[in-house]
Amino acid sequence: MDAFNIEGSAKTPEIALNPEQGTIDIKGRSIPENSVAFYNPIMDWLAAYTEKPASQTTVNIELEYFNTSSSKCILDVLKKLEALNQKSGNVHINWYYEEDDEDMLEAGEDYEAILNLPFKMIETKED
Amino acid sequence: MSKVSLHISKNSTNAIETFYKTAVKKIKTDSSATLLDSFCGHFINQDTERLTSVLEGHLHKKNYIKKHVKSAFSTAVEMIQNIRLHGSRIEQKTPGCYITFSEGSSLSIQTANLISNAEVPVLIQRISDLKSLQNTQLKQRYIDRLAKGSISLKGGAGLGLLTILSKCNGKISTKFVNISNEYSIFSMTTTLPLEHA
Repeated sequence: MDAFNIEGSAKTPEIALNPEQGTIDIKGRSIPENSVAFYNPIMDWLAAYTEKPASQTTVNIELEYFNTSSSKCILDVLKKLEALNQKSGNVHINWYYEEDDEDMLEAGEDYEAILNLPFKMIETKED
Repeated sequence: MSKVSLHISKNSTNAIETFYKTAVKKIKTDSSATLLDSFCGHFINQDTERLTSVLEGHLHKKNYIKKHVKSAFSTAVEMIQNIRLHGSRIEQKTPGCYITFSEGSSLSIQTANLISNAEVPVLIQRISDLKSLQNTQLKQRYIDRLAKGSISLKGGAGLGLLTILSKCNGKISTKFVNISNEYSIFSMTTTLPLEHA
């Protein structure tokens, strides 16, 4: 299975999916008009990955902004990982938020409330 | 294109333009308000990035606290995408307007778009319902909707208004102006705090 990468843009996040290391990184801004079109290839990759996952899967989500349609797509990504975690029990979510960005911290906590996945909230310092 | 549809198109676009010009004039003649940015026309995909980057750049330049800049940016994104997703399309185009202005230690974002008259009572009810909720209830509604809702054919998650209300802490005013048998203008103005770092 190949790694999958998408460069970040002003409206879409940088995506780095590495099947060997078992890392799923989503970083930047996610405010596309058509979030489904953007996240569909990621969902496809995940569908294949969950068939033959690494021994441990680490998900790093470090978003500065995301729009409401992205929030639903991110939930779909996490639901896929929740199903993997129920099977393998080895999925960990690192949710990064900038210091003082209570909204982003709350967004992570919202997902944590909806999903049965281990979340670690990690505060980052401003650049 | 029939003469009738051309007439409707022209009238609707003119009505939005008149609404926009009146709103901008009001801000310009208000000595306590400063117009930051404004746009009136047919909204396209790239407008979200274009308009929000102008807003973000301006707020960063003025050195407002990052938390407020982020709230303003997120609110503007949702309001602009709301026009694109829910504004009535006339001949495949989505007419609307977007205005930002500051007043003392607050920022206002105003948008307007066309909606069909049939949608007006539904939207009035929905906004009234959401505005009646306390912050904790709004949060719960958001989580419920996020957990159980799905993305519509238009690409919306049904969370836009909830997010806008939450970001502006309920400081939202809406206006409906009937312009024809078919359409009304729906205008929304949110007010957000702006404090210097």
